[in-house]
Amino acid sequence: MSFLAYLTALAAAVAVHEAGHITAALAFGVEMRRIRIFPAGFMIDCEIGSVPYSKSAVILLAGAAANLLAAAITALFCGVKAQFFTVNIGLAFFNLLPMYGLDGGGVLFCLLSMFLCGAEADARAARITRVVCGVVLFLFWLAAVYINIKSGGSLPMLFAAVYLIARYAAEDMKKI
Amino acid sequence: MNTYNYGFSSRARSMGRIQSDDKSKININAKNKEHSNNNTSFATTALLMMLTVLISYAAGTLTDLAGSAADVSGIYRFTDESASAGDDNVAVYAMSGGVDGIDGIDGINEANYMNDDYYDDDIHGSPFTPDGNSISDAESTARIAELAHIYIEEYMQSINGTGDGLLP
Repeated sequence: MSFLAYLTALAAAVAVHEAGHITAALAFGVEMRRIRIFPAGFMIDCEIGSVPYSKSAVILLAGAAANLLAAAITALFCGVKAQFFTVNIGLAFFNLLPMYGLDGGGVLFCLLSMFLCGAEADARAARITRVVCGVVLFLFWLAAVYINIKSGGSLPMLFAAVYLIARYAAEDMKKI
Repeated sequence: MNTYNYGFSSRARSMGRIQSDDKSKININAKNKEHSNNNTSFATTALLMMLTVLISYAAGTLTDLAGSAADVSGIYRFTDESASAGDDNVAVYAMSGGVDGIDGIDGINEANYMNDDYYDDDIHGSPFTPDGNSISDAESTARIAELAHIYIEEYMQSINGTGDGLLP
């Protein structure tokens, strides 16, 4: 499969992913003022406080769910060797990693905020999220270095690692 | 009216802003100051991490290029040798495009053998090398030939029911 075909499949999978987020947000009646699209995803501007943590978690999970649904449909009609199946599965599970910049990090924070009790539950949830994301980032970094050396330089792994490190650094600089 | 950063960071920021009105303001500011110092150290760490990934990418790419060059020279050295029926060299000869109809067939063309993943999975991970490593160049070249021979046999069986129709 050519690189162009891979990129096309990836772009389609990303579109499916974002469509999942937007569909869930619309289903919950989230009032969206603006949607900004970035290479790594999108950002919704909406009323803060209008989305409870439980719904936020569902909206965040909807992207991966859409990818899994697309993968299932692809497997049904084209088999599991289809490029679109592999890309959707990869994108779904990659986004579920608990890291800043990925849906998994947001889901982790939402779940912790929901289940932690007492004063400053949000702050504690943010601190725990920061630690978990830091540990996972470290493991991801190790994996990226290993895979780059082992597989003869993996460009997707390079981009992903640089993006995730930058996102963690950006989140770390925010004052909580 | 606030902007909600899709995720969690704005919530945390908002929460901090709300708390800044209460009596714990001084403590929060102190915490922020301490955190600011940590930011400097993590920014350095982040740069080092990025640099490490970048170096590993460059090193991996260069190693891969060197390995591909070695593979090419190994295969073409074989093609210069005379081949006889049933000889593994024939398979290598076919891989290089020496037999009409073989080169370009998915699964057995030489481009696949230049691919590290394919090489690792099908050569190192094959029953020919149970330990998966520590094989000499001569051994690995012979096993490429052996595997290519099997691929050709399987292909011929798939198109005409016999495994020796095309090989000389």
